[in-house]
Amino acid sequence: MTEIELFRNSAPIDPQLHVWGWEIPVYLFLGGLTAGLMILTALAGRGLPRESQSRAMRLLPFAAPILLSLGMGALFLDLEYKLHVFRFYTAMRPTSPMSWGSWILLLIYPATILLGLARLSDGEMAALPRTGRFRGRLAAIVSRLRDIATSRAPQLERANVILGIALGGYTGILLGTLGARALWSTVILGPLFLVSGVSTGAAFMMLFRLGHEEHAMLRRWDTGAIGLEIVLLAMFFVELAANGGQKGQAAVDLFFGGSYTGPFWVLVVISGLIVPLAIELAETQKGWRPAIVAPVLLLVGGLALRWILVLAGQASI
Amino acid sequence: MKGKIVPVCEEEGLELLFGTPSEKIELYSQALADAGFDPLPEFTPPDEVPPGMFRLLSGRAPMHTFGRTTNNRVLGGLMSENEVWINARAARSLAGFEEKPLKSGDYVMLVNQDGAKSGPVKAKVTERIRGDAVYLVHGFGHTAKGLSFSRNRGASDSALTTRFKVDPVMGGTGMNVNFVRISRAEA
Amino acid sequence: MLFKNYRTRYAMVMDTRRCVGCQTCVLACKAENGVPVNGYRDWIVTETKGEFPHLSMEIRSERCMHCTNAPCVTNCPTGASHFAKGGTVQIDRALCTGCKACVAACPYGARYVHPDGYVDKCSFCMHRVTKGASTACVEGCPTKALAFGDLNDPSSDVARLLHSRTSKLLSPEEGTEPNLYFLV
Repeated sequence: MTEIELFRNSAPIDPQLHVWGWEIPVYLFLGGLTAGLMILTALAGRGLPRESQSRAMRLLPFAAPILLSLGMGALFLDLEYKLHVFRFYTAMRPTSPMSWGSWILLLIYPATILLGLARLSDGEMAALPRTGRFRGRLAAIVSRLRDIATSRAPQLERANVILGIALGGYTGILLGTLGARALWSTVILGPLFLVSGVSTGAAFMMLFRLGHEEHAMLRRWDTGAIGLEIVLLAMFFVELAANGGQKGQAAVDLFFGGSYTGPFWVLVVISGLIVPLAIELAETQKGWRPAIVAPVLLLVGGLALRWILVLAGQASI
Repeated sequence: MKGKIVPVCEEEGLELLFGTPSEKIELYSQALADAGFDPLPEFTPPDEVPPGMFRLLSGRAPMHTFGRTTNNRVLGGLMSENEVWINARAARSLAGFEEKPLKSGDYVMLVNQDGAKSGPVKAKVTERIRGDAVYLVHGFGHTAKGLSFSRNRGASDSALTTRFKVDPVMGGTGMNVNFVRISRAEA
Repeated sequence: MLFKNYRTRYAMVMDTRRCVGCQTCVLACKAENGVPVNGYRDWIVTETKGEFPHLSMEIRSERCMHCTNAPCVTNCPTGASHFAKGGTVQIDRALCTGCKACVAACPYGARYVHPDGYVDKCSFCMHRVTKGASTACVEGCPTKALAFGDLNDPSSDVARLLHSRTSKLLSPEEGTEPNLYFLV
């Protein structure tokens, strides 16, 4: 038996690390969602004429920068010294995923907005509000950008897929390089968060009124992503238990009998993965009418996954 | 410098002698015998610990000076409340805790043999104490309003020390002669 | 890591056999460096092993280990945490955004968030050392359980203690190569 007494009460590291609250999981969730949205919007509309897509599908690329901005807002709230936020952009630290991430985030705005412009139909273009002082010049710029984007659509789609993968993977690697926390110190978090991001991205898109074909295609991809996510989650625990030593075992125990068992299995595994997977399979195979239930469960599950992993990771040594 | 130089150490020529008749350390003291006491110290066993109770021991923590510094915010940060130490094996078989064994961090109350009560105090279940005694750091459990930080933190060992014993030879007081019963603090 | 070859290599040696856990190092540090109430640049850990009455105890005065391979430095996105004079790890407050990646990356819990919005930790009292003094904790220690100096100088206290005594590192499996040695 070993008794350890620590004579300090250092906020917010004692009695256990709790430096990151709701802001980081929300950011990781919205970042992953954006990544999935970028990959899926780029792939789903690839090579298709604008008018053959549903209106929602054409406009969804614009949701990416909005969701990302919400996520970055949460990230900003987490900073202890908000005035120094510009310091992320006065340095490039190759060993820090956070530094990589902050630069990737900057590239995502032009990529997603240009992709959205490229997808905009002529009617939607004409319907853009034309009021205000700079309407003439602004409209000209937008229309010029749309022309460029349209001519470079394949490159834009490729850029969106690559940046999406980078963003989705980085949200996991960000935690993965913090080797001091046994639960996070595995490379599987990168692919796990990426796949979960794709799945939540698909779920987000399915909330809108898509065409029947589009919905079926997204559902197909989503079922694959959920299946892969379940495999990666299993690998995540096996890897931790097998290679993490005593600390890894202790981290795994948090989910098998420990304090995170209930929320994790109920919110993430059952209602966040298995139930929506079953519903989506039934929708595809038995022809059930697509309902809003599966996407909502997936989104809640995706947020819960990150929330629980961020909290439990800080609780693990 | 005026006056005679008084040697204060061996190097200055102080003779190392004691003020006893033999000028040495005396295990057998004729002076004590003449005064009617045991010339050789004789072991007097302490009182037995009553069943279900613990001998209350108290002592100091290194960061605090007596009972006077617990209201200091910096020192209080190092130790803001005292805990009642109880042996791990004794805690497992503690009466009244059969359903939910006592854990470190649980709040308990102490009541001594004369009915004196402590406020709620955290338990510390540890191997660092014997099974028939509990230990409190002195200087906590203040009730004075002016002690804005330390008031009502921890338990006061002084309040539980209702009895003491006096050494018949030199008059020293022994205070670790009180016994307490442990019960769970009502929430 | 990136800048490994320093002419001087500052290190601290802590004698667990001399330490009585009096916390003078903690208070000396707090007074010297203006450490806030809810923050600690150094702290005491006691580790007791065994079952009563067969016990052994180790008392350690811990602080930032100024790791040669510091995860806080590699994870800092702005370069606020950096290697400085003598291989020490220092924080540039003007660059710190308070993102707390370094706090999560440190296996020793050596960093805390200062109420003013930056992350703070032990600096090996560089402001004293550059003037020829030792650190506040070393000078305050009443049992001489702490020693500070240049590992690359064979006549320094730290080098002599490490050569003549058995020492250990904390969490060597993390691969951080800490520069705070514990004599056992």
